[in-house]
Amino acid sequence: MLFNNRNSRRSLLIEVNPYQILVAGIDRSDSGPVTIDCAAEFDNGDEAGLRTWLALNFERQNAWVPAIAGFVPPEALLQRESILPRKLVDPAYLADLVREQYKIDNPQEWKLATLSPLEGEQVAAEGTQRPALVCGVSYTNVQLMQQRLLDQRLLPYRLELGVLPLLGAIASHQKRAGEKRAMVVVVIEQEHTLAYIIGKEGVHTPAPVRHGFASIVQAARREFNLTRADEVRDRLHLADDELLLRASKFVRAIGRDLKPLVDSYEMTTGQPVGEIYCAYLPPTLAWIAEPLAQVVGRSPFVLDCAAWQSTVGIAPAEGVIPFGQHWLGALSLVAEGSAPAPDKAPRADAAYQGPWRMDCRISAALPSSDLVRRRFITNAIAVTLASAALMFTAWLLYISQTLASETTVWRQRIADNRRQVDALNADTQTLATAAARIETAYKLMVPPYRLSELLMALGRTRPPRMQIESIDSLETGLVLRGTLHESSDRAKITLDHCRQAMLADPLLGARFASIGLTSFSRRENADTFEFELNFKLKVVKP
Amino acid sequence: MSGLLQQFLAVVRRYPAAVISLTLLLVLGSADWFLWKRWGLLAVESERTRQEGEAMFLALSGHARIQTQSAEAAGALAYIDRNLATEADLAGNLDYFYQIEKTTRVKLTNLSQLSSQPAAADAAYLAIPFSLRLSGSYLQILTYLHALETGPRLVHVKTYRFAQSEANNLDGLTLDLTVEMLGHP
Repeated sequence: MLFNNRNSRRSLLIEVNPYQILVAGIDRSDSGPVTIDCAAEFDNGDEAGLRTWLALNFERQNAWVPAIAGFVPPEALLQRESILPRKLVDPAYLADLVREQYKIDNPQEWKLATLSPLEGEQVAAEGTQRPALVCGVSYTNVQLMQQRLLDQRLLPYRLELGVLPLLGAIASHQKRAGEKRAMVVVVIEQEHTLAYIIGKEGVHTPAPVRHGFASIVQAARREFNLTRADEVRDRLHLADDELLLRASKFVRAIGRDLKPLVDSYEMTTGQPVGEIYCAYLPPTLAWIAEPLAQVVGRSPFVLDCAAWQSTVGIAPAEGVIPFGQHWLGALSLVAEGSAPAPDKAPRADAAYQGPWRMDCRISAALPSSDLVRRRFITNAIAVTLASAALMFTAWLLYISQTLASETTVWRQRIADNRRQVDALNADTQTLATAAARIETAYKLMVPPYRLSELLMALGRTRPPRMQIESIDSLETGLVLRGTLHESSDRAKITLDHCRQAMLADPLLGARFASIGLTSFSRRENADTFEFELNFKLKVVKP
Repeated sequence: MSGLLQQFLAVVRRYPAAVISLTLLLVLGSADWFLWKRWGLLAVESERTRQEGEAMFLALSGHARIQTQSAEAAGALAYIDRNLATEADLAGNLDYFYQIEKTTRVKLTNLSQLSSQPAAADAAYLAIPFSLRLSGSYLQILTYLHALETGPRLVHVKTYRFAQSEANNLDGLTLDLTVEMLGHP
């Protein structure tokens, strides 16, 4: 919604009628008139010209151009019929009616609707028998028209049966003008002519006239003695005096059949018919209207188009060539109707879109109406992903550059300190060599204890009555022999105290694990005991 | 083929931003893959270099300590080397023991230099054995031993026998010693 500007929407108005393609660029605001900023007319079939014009005038919209379209299909149904509205709830009712009354074999292939002939509103499915306009168009024709529009990059927001808005516009105009007489709207098609009489009881649909534009061509061919079709066409589009003098002859066939229909209407309804309007005739063929009206005995309808536009909310921009009467059908597609807008807005894909409106679109065959949003989302996602990838790339480049810089800095610092490192390595090597030699000397010369310190320690811990006679070194320690001049019980106690004192001595206790009494004997004839103490060195763990 | 190309061109015209973005995404995705791989290598290299640098600075911070220790070790080694005995210098070696005898007044009744064990070819030092017999008072012998063990030459007492003198002198002591003196190999 954020990007969907609802206040002003530029779109295309297009009408494809039997003679021409009428296009106009419109700018429709929520309030205010519809502004027409450009317009053009093309021969029906001039697709290339239309494409070029669209490219020039809608160059900014390189995607779909929203279009409000009206068309006059070769096979359309618009007949006033007496129906039972309450039966409309049954979908088969209208189909059966159409099949029986108008010999349409496959009504399921048609889009059908019923409108009030007076107001053009949809007939409610209630009430008793009353007249209604049965409208229909085959899906095949709709499909072809939709595809034709899509080929021109035009996305139809509405695709209407063109004659309905035209009839509505004329009915509204008659009402505003206070016209008491009925009006005949004539659509001259190639092989037949359709007439719609707009009177006080709404739209009447007399039987089609069997002569169409082909009869005019045939008459002109005879009158001017022309053989080739393009010659006849060119001659008919050249409205000179000679042509106008003979014009009544050209339209006589149509007028001859049309007049009884009009007269019959007058007699049936009692309402006089005043004017005849020949719809869709291009300016070069507009001369047909007057002789046809004369043949029928009525007067041609003349519309002040500029004045009419102001009453229906259409405002051409400056520079736009004033529209002729043949634009009435096209402009009626965007004209404000006389009827008030319905209370509840119809669904976008509903056939009935208001009085004199019948949207024939086949939504399923059209690109999504959310196309713009979908395209925006697609682009937004793609751009977001690309942006994310770009940011990720930038981040990777940044951290790679940072890492490379850090590596370079460290390498530079390492290189700068290479000399100190070499000196350190040399000093370390020197230290290691010296330490190894000292270690070797230590292993060779280290004693388990110093003998001088041992002697001093033994001297300190020796009891007064103990005499040491010898000390011998052993691999596992030493053996101390001596005599003790005491009684046996005292000698034992003295020796135990002596051993404990020796083990408690810091020097002896640190080096010897145990001091064991290995010999104890008394000398003959004396209270003297000989003893032997065995000192065991502590095992030095590697 | 041309139909496919036209369809592609139509898509490009209809979704120019998306097509450009997706193309950019493909290109950047490929670039990112290579950059990611390069980043992994750079991270490993940077970490290795950083650790190497930090280790270098840590080592350099202890250079002064290494130098001090090296100087101390060199001094100790010089002291050891300066006082090494020479096995062939018999007189000098024995004189070392006699010099101590003079200062301690102990009586060296027996002194001889024994044959040393053959040293390895790359040995830094040689242990030169000696056999000694001392006689004297407890204090004299203790002083001699102390001088021997703390003297400039490194001496290692291998075996000893400490006994009273055979003469019936209560103060007389005898000490039999075998020692090893550190010498040149």
